Amino acid sequence: MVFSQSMTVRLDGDQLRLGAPQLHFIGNEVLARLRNGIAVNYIFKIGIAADRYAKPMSESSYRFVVSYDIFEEKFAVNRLEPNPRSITHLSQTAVEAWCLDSISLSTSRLTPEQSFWIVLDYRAEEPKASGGDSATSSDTLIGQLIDIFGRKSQRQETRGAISSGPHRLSELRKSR
Amino acid sequence: MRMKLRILLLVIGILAGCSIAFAQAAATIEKTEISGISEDKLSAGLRADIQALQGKAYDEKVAAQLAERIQSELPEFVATTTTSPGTQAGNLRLVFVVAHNINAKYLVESIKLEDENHNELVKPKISDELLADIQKMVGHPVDDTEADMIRDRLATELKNKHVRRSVAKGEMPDHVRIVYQAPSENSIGGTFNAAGYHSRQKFSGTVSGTYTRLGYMGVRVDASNDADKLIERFAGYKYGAWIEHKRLRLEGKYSSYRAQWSNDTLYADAHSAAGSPTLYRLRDTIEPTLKVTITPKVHATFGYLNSLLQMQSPVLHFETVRTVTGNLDYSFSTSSSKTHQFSGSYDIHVAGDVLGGAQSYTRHRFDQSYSFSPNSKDHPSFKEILDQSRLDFSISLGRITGSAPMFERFSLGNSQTLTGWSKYEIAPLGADRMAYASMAFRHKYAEVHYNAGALWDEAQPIVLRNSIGVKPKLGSIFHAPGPIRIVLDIVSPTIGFPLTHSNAHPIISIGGGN
Repeated sequence: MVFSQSMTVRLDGDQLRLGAPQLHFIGNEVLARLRNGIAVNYIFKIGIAADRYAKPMSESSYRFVVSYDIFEEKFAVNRLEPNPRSITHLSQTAVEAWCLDSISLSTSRLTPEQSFWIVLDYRAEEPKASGGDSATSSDTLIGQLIDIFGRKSQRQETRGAISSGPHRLSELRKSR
Repeated sequence: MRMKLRILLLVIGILAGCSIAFAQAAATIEKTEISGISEDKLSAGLRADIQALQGKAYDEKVAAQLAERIQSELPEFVATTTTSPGTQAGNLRLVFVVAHNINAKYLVESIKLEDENHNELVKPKISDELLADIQKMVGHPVDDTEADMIRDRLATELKNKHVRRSVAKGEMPDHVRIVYQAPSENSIGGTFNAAGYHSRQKFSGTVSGTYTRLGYMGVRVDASNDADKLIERFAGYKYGAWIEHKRLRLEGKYSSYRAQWSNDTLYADAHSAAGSPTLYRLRDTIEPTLKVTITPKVHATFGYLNSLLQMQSPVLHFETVRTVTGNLDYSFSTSSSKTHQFSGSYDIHVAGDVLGGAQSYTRHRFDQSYSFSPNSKDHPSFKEILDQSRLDFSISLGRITGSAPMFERFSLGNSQTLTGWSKYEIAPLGADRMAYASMAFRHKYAEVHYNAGALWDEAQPIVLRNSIGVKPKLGSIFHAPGPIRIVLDIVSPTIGFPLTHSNAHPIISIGGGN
C-alpha cells in the first residue's frame, strides 16, 4: 500500500531530520506478526529529489529490526545500518518515533537556494517463504497456479511512501 | 492463642526467607554460554570475563553488566541473559543471548505442530531426524535462524509451502512455545442451508458441497428446492468456482432451476393485464462476479447476469435477460465486544437495450440493520452466545422501474418477512415497490418479532401489513444438554400472527431463511 501523509523537515547542523507523528508504519498485519513473536525487518530509503516525482539526487538506506516481547508486551528495535544501535522497552509509537529520529540526510549536495523535495519510502520485509522448489504443493497446473497466487499473497509487503516539499536550505535555516 | 499463631507464622516466614536467600546464594554458575552469535565476535577481554564467571556464585547484576558490555561491542543486537538448571542441584547455566529478536531471551518449553484451526497434527509425516532436531530446540533460547530452518525443513517434508512459525507464551515463566502451523491444502465441507418448513410454502432447503484449496480457490455445488426465497418454488443445481487474490475475488456461477408456481400465482397471471410479468418453466443463469474488498468491513461487487428463461405463454419460447449488477455492503461494530453492530447493503441491477436482453429494467434494493447486544463479551463461549439477549432492527426498501422478470420482483410474507402472512395472498405476482421494517427481541428462552411492510406496483394503492412472530426456544426451555439444546432451539417453530381485522389464521414455520 502506498500513501502519503504530512512530514516535517528540520535542519540539524548539515543534516536534514524528519518528523512525521502521523506516520504509523507498523500496520495491523505487521503488528499481528510481531505479537506472534516474529521479528520484522524494516527498510527505509530517504532521498532528496528536485520535485515530488523526480528520481532522487541522493539517497540513503536504513535497516531496522523490530520485535515485540511477548511477556513484557514492549517493543525492541535494532538499527542494523548505518551506525548500529539498539533500544528496548518501547511502546509502538515510541518505536516509530525512534526509527524516524534515527534517519537523517546530508545537505552537502544542496545549495542554499536550491528547491528540493524529501521522499521517504519504507517497507516491512516478510519472512522468506518456507521451503524451496522441493516443497511444491501440487503437480497439477491448477495447483501450481494456486501456489503462485499463494506465494505472492504470503510475501506481500507492507510499504508506504511519504514526501515533503518544496524546501530550501535558506528557509530551513531561518525557521530554526 | 492468636499470639502463638502469629509467632508461628513469623517463624515460618523467617525460615522460608532464609531458605530462599540460601538457595539464591548457593546457585553456582556451572557453565556460561553465548547464544545467537559466534564468540569470536566479542573482544578477548570480554570473553575472558564471561568465562571467569564459571564456578562463581550467580549474581544477576554482574550478568547484566556483562550483557551491557556485549551490547556495546555489538550495538546492532539486543543482549540479554537467561538461566537454566545445571546438571547438579544448586547449579545453573548462564546464557548470554545475543539476537535481533527480543524474544530470544526466553527458553523454548515445547514445540507444537498444528493445522490452521490450531488442532495438533496427528502423526505428521516427518522424518525421525527432523523430529529429533525439533526436540533439540527445547530447553534452549529461541533461535530465529534455527527455528526458520526447521520451518523450511517441515515445509519440504510436509510438501506444504505455507508452514508458518509463531512464538507463544509457555506454561512456565519466561518459557515459550514455538508453534508451526501447516494449513491443510485441501478442505471439503458440506452444509444444509435454509432448511425449513412453512405451513403454506411447505418444505425448502439447499444442500451444499464445497471444496477449498489453500483458502485461495474453491468450488461449490448447491442442490436446492426452495419455495421461500422467491415467488416461485425453484428446484435445481448451482455450480460455482472462485479464486481469490489479495483484495479481489473472482467468482463464476451457473445455475439451472425448474420453476413451479402456486395456484394463486397461476390464477393472478391468467387474469393479469397485458405487459405483466409472465411465468417461466426453466431458468438457466450464468453469473460472473468480481468482489473487491475495500476494507475488511466494506466490499463492492460487480457482476453480469445472463438468464435464459423458457416461457410458458403465449406459446413455449425462450427469452434472455441480461443484467449488470453492482453491490456495496458494509458491516461494523462500535467495540470489540460487538455491543452495537451495524450492517447494510445497496444492490442495483440494470438491464437495458445495450445489453441485448428481452427485458429492460432497473432494480434497486437497500437494506440496513442494527443489533444491540448489551451483555456481549469479547470472546464469548458457545453457551454465552446462546444465552445472549439481543435487539435487532432492520429496514429494506426496493424499487423496480421497467419490466423485470419474476425472479427479480419483490415479495414479502415468507419464513423471514411478515411472518404470519402468505406471500401468495399479498402479491401472488410480486411487486415492483417494497418497504419493510422489522424489530426483533431475542432472549435465551424465546424470540419475538414485530414486522411491518408493504408491497405495491407503481400507481397502485399502498397497503401496510403488520404481523407478530413468536418463537419459543424449546432446547433452552427444557434445559436440554449440549448439542441437543442447539438442535431443539433451531427446530423450534415460529408462529406468525397477521395483525388484521379479518379472521386470518396463524402461519407456522420451522427454520428456513437464506
